[in-house]
Amino acid sequence: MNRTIRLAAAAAVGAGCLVGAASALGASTGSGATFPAIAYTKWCQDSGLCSYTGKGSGGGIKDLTKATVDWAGSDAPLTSEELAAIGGKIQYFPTLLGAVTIPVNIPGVNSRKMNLNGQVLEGIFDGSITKWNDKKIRAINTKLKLPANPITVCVRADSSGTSFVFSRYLGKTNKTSPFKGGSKTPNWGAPTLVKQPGNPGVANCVASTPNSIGYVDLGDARNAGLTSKIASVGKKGGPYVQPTAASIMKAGQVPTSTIKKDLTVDFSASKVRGAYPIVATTWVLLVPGRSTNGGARQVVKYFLSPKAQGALTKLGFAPLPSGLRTLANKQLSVG
Amino acid sequence: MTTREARTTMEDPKVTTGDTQGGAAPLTQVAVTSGGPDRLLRAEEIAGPHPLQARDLNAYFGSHHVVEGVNLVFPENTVTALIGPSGCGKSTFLRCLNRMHELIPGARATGDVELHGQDIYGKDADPVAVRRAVGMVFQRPNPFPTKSIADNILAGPKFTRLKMGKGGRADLIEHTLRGAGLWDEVKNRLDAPAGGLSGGQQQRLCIARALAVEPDVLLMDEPCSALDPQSTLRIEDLIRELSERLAIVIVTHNMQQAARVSEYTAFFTIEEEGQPGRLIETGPTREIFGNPQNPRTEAYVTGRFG
Amino acid sequence: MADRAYAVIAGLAAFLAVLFVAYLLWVTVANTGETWSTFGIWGFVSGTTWNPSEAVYGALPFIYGTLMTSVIALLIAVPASIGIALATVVFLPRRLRGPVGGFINLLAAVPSVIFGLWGVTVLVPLLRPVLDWLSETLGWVSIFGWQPFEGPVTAGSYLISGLVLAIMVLPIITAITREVLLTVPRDQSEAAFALGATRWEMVRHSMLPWARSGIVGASALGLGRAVGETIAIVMLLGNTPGIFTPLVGPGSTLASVIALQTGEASGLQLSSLTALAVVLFVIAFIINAAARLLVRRSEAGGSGGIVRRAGSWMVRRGRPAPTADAPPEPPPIAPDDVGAGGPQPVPRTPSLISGPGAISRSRVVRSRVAEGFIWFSVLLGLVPLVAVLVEMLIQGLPALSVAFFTELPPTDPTSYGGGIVNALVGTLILMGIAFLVAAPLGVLTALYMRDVGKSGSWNSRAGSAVGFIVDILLGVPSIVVGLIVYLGIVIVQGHFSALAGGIALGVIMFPIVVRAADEVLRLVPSGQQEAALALGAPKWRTTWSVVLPIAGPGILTGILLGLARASGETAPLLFTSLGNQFLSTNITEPIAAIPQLIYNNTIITQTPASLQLAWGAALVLVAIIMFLNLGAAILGRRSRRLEGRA
Ligand SMILES: Nc1ncnc2c1ncn2[C@@H]1O[C@H](COP(=O)(O)OP(=O)(O)O)[C@@H](O)[C@H]1O
Ligand SMILES: [Mg+2]
Repeated sequence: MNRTIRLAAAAAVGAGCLVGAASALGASTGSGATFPAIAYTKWCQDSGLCSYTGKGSGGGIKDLTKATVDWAGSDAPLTSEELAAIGGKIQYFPTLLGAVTIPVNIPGVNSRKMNLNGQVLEGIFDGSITKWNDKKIRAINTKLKLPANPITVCVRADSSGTSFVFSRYLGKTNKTSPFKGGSKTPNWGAPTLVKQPGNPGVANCVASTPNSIGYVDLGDARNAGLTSKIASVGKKGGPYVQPTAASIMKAGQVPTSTIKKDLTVDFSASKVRGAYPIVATTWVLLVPGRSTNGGARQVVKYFLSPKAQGALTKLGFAPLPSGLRTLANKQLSVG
Repeated sequence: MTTREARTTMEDPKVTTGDTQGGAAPLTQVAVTSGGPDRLLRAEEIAGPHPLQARDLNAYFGSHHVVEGVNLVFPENTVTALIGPSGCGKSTFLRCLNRMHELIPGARATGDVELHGQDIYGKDADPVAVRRAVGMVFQRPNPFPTKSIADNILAGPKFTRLKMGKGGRADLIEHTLRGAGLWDEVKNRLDAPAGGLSGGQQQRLCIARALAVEPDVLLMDEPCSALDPQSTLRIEDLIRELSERLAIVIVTHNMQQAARVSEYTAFFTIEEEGQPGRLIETGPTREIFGNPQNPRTEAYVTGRFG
Repeated sequence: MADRAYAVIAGLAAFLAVLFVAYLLWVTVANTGETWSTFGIWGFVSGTTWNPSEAVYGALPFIYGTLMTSVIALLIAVPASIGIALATVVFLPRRLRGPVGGFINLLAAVPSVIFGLWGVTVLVPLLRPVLDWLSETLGWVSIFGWQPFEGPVTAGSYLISGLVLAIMVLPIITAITREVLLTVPRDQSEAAFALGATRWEMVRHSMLPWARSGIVGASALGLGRAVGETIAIVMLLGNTPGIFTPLVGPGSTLASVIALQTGEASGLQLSSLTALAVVLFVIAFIINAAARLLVRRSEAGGSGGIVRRAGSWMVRRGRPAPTADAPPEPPPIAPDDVGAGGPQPVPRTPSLISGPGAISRSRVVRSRVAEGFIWFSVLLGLVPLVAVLVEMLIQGLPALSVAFFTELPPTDPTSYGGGIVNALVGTLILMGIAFLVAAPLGVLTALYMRDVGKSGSWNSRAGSAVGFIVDILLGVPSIVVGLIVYLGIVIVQGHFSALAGGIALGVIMFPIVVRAADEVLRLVPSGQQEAALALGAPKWRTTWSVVLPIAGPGILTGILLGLARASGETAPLLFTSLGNQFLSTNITEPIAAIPQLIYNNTIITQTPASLQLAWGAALVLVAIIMFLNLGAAILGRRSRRLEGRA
């Protein structure tokens, strides 16, 4: 038996050493937002420059703060506490445009024909609208036969940039909204809430719960087979549009002058006609002055390259507007 | 002793006459053809009814043949003792009489056992009903230790689902415990778990428990071998008392005990290791001990063998 | 001299293990300080709000959710486990008993994330109509204002979570119940049979009472598992904390909220999450201590312990015995048994032993119903297992190919193909680290408890203290281990790493190894050692050349079982080894692992292609775990043979 144990130990050590000698990429590591995770993991593998773990924007920022990763992916700018914790300095690099879609599952109702706007969505998610046949919903859906069933609201259980983008959008619909400014973990007020981890969790929740509504990024909604369940969203008077690459890009068509200096631009509630209203950019975050930034800049450079940007549409995202991309590249060479 | 010798003694007219003249008893014919014991306890010799009898009974553990061709009658209201050296199949034979044998994996039996003329191994005989009519007391006292004394008594009637009121239950408990001579010792702690009783008390509780289902026959496999002499005497008294009401079959290693409690005795033996055990001789106890026909019986009862 | 060195080495190992536990404990205490000082212990435990945005943290809804899901799970799992155990001990044909028991044990090899995946994709849609029906017909039921079936029915719910948890704890409860039932002496079952009991009546009146405290202990061990379950609950409960909310709706548990929020938490929130872990630990500790006490008592004392307890209970209840001087009248039993109590037995009619009158109809019906229930439990145990295995084969087999073992996951999650080489290598490295951490320390600790911790009063006290710590570690839920290693290593070191993940798995494995080693070492007959010692061999020599060779296979069995347990863990890796999409073998960097790849491919991104990869990975993981368990079983058998020879 001595031999057996010695053999086992030797095997374990041997296996470790052998493989250890074989590789080690020394790639730049990132973690954070799950919203762009599909794109980032693909880009990382295509380029071989990095590895990315989707775990939520908050988690990424925390990892970056503790320097457990070289860069973070985030859908939201840092809160003041987060900024303080990280040492007061941060760089934002926008990487892509994405849309938050609103999947709806009401038996007997064609979701794509369902019209929703900010005010109605705000009401559903803060709990002031609890039934599908609520007056406010019927007012913009005169052609649909809506049931009197209570609404089940599927939301993210983990801290999430998707939640931030969506709640920030809701927060703009009225002055007293509890969602003002957006949050990665909003206090949803709906009476029947189901919190699921990850966008696929929310997508599954909507798919398997009758009379439910949720919010999921376009790529995940497509992956979960929810394309036919996505409602049309518009401004108060319409038009109500489906999220597509075209309608997302329209949202990005803002004058360069409106882009903030730190590149934390907000595309939600775009004024462009026919633009899908719940659109956001997502950022790669770097802490200036870190020794790991060389590798990280390589990563960002690749993310902004035409090759990388060209792959986005297929994944359910849209490329950055060219103005923003130029500014990002400029910041990359400066900082 | 060889088979041939057995056969020779078998042909002794003194023993077989009754049978051949009576002619009707299939028991003896079977016994004769299968080469059985010297002297048989025959149905005809017994006054009164005989609830239980075994015919050409064979028992096996897998391919191991442990009991061969036993024919035996158990008369009513009497005690029959089974004696013989260890491993000759007494316990196995006993367990065949209420179909307990077949509970052991791989164990099986052939031949018939008749209870009131009906074959307990018959096609539609229910072993559960058989065991209820033929009770059993084991070598090691085995009360249900977590159940109270009262519930041990009531376990059997509960299975048979006899309907009794509360009073009926209390009466049954008292009646059977008195029957087993345990009443005075436990009447004040009927709700105490049975595991707390002494070994002798436990064994008497097991007897009481067996009596509570009103069996016709009670099988006892060395019921006193785990007990002290005092307890043994009490149980022997009890056995004699009970034999006024039912047929008892008792396996014992203790010759004095057989002599003290039984009216009839059957001697089993085994030729050598691996051979099946056989019934050698049966008869009234005093004859088996006083005037055995077979030299092996004599050797055994006089303590020269076994 | 050498003996001194041996004592020092073994003692050092035990000391190191204790020191490490103490360090983790200190980290935990240091981290929860802020929570206790902000809310007070009672304020935190009884707090009903958990709101990070307002920095208010209370544990009660999670405690409630943890207990509620576990209780539902036990209500389903305990009867089913007893049924299955009985089937494999009494009712099944002899040839089938072993295979069925082994098959149920397979369920234990299926990692939690796979049950979560199966629950979400298969069970939730399947049971939807049942839950809808429940809420429609029983929605009005109200227990002191709590309406357990009030709609709306949601995707994640207490009932579904409880059911999946039940399936997950079923194997352990069944296995222990089976062991306990096998200790019921044959004379107990024969006693019942000899009274004319049917098989079910024998079980009911003789086996179950005998095995009762063992079964209660087994159930408590199952409960200990259930309260710590994380990933499946995260996927199936809906993560919405609440107290006395409907069972067809969502809830949240201690373990699941820790898993979901720790990654992003800092400050007071992280402190409060750690406090939740402490609460979870305390709950699991109490349950496990009670369970071990019960199982040990029923195994050691046979019915002795039970009897003693039953006795005191009965005495307190004690109904007065019938008065002694009442005349012993023949008991009025049944109408046709008049006079049966008298001295003259009534000759029975032949129908007594056969035919329709032999045993009463109601008995037959009862026994049939009971046996029906037992068969139903066997089905209940087998159906989900078969369903999960079939699902895994159907979905996973198409993913398997040579490339599956040599390539990285596809760059585009929507495209099929690719492999899991990063996760496979990662899992092997993590297991290697866990092995290196847990095996030497574990065996040395066990030797310390045996050889050194016995001599001298100080040493023996230290020895039993080490034993106590090991017992505590055995019951720590893996999510708690993950969180504490995160606090104690990842944050302190400043980065996620394979090392941290491996250490977390090692901490999970360590007590399993110590206990297994301790148990086999105890079995080594002292005569063997005394013989060697009498020949003048020093203690360490005796241990090395006499004790270890005898105990070796048993110790290795424990190591393999520990590895099997560690290799299926997801929750502790989320905050330690983090994951890596590349093939990395650097133990100071984040590393991929199979359970985590499954988690990522179902929770972080989910496409038909990513699911296929996940099912394929599940297949590989279950194969690894089963391989380890099989090795353990074979070695276990060998060591039992050795033990017999010795
Ligand atoms: N459970 C068993 N399995 C296999 N063989 C058995 C078993 N019990 C008894 N035997 C064998 O059957 C034979 C008769 O045993 P038994 O009836 O117990 O003898 P006795 O009671 O006369 O001492 C012996 O050879 C014994 O080894
Ligand atoms: Mg015997």
